[in-house]
Amino acid sequence: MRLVGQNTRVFIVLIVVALGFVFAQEPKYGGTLTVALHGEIDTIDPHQSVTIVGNQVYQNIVESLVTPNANLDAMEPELATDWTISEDGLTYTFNLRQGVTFHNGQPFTSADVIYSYNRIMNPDFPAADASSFTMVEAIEAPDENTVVFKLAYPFGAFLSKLEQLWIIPNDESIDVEQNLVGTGPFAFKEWISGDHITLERFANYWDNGKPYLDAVVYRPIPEDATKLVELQTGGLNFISNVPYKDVAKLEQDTNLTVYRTLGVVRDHFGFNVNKPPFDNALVRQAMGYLIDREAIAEAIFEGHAQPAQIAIPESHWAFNPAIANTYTYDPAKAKELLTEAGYPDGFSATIKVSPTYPLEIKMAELIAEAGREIGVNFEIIQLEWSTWIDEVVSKGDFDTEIVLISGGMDPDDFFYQWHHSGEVFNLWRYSTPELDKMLEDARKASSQEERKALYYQIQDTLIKEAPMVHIVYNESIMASASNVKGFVMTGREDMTFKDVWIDQ
Amino acid sequence: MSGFHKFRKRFSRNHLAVLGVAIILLLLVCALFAPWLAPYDPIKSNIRARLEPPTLQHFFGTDDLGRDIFSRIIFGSRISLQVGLVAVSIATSAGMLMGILAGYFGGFLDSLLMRITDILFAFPAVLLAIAIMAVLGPSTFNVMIAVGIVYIPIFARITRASILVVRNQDYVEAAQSLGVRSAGIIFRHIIPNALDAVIVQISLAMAFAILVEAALSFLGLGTQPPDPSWGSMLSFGRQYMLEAPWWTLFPGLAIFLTVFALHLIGDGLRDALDPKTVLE
Repeated sequence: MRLVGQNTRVFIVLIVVALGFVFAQEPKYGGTLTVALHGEIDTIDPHQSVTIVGNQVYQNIVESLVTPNANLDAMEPELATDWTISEDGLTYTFNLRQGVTFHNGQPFTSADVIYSYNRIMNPDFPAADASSFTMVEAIEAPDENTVVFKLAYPFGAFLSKLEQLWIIPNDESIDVEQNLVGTGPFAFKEWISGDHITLERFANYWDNGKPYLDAVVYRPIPEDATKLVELQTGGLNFISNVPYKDVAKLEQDTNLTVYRTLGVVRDHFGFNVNKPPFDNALVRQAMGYLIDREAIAEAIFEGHAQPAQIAIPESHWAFNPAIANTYTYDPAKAKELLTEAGYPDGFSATIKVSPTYPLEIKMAELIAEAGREIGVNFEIIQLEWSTWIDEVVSKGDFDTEIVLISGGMDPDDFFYQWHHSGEVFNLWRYSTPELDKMLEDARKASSQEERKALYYQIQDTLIKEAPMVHIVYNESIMASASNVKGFVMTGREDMTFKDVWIDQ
Repeated sequence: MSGFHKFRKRFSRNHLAVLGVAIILLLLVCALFAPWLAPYDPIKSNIRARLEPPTLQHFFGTDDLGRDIFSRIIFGSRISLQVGLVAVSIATSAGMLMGILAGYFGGFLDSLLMRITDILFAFPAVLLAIAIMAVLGPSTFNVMIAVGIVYIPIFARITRASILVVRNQDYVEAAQSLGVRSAGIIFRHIIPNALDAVIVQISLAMAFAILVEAALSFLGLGTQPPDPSWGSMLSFGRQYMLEAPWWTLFPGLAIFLTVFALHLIGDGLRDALDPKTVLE
């Protein structure tokens, strides 16, 4: 009897624990997520926005045919349920999800995909990502629920590029920049510039039962201290870009959850290869040996960074292990290379940075200090962000620069737009027919083995020619109140709140 | 009693003004002998000694790159004083010239010059300095030019007002009727008698220049790293206000004391030069 009794008690306890577990994990509905944005967004229009913050907002409003998984290594269905790729790699046929409606009540069909595609590819429209689709020869809609893309040549990264094809409704009368309409879990409500952006739960969202939150409110708060205090006092319940020096403190706070990933956010030291002395590859290589990457990771990132050699992370399938540890901190070697290049007494040059990226100014200071040891005199120039973009990116008026770069899934993302001739993001103006050809071939190669071999060569070239040398991969760090559940961090700075709920 | 002796007596009775002079003299000594006074190289980092609180090795602690804040403040005094002096010389020379021409000749020239100062006055001072910096590009030298330009209308107005008072004095009329040329009258009779207000304004303008240099460097537009400007130290240190308060406290104190001292001197000068102040 006693024995049975004890067993029963144990059984009851187990049941209670199990139920508690189940209930604890069951998402609850309601609540508002108040999110700090690192800065004001440029535009809500997903086809025009070029900022990380813009993307962090609109990715909750609009969707694409496919979306990357959290590891960023494969594409998953979103507005397409499945797809087939022809043997020759030239035809992609997508079956669209049925029963999906836009926030304005309009049903989603193939006409919307074609409308969105044509909007991006319209030569008169300043689309941010038109170059992602230059290989598309034709787009067709055989019926309401099917879309077919015909490519001019096989392009291994096509599926991952399709994420940029954000779908908006086929309706010219909608002013996308003022009132973005999509199929996503949240509908755009209002944007008071400089103050807040509000999104509301979309009750007819296709993914049953989601989302859980009633609303998401974004507030641009560039000042770190303000952001942290508001998170701790409850004015905010989600922040990104947590300052590195505060990570340890926040992790100890039981009222908060800290999210960290080492992803594709990276810093580099780039050179204008059109200007002496940086037209000489030996000089550029020498700069690679002037960077004390461990000291930077320690002093500037409080250890939340790892030394980097190249854009693509070391965990990526296309990373070339042969280049690991090429550039170390070795001023003597740098001096040797400079002497070989014909600058035995060093030279003077400027480093252009922006106060928008204060950590990069610190890196410039440490590099300048290492330079002084071998006669290289770097003058640091801080430019307001839009001036920086104008001088460095648009005009190419700089000697060297340091800036943060984020993003990339397919190896093409890490190399083509940064190093191909004529690309806007080829800040360093390094361009040779050989590298162009390798980048183009790598796009066209269909098997992963073939592509890997080409990307290995591309990395070899970039390490030797060094139009830029890398400094560190940075950890991305976000934090929320501990009752915010279900957030999954990717290696990019994504903030998608479809699965997020508040335990209240 | 000669004019200067009278002035000195009046000024030295004002103990606060003397304190101001003492602080500025101390600052001058720091600026002139910085390399001998500073215990460390102000731009040399030392990662192993980062964010150390004030100790006997580092009187004012260290910053996030392990640089000695005491040494940086001593070297920073050079930048602050340099900016103050050069900016004020630009502003006084150009401003006085405008004020003299406008005040002495009057008429169309007066209207034209005063409308120009009106235009400059229409902009808030710091905003105008930021706009000028945006055109010239960031550097310490450009800060001097920007602050100089911002202060030109103030000196122009003050000079013009004093000139207007002096111009109608009997001795000026006498000189004119004797056939002395304008240049002679301006330099011999007018300027010396119109200087008092300008002298008072100079100390206040220097304080303003030092504050604006700090503000512009705080915004990244002024002195560029790694050079130690008090303003840029504040700017970078503010992110560490809770963990390393010494990093912002000491440059903040340096700015405060300097500006305070210059204002004390300005007050003292005004009292000493004002004939209405009764000498007890």
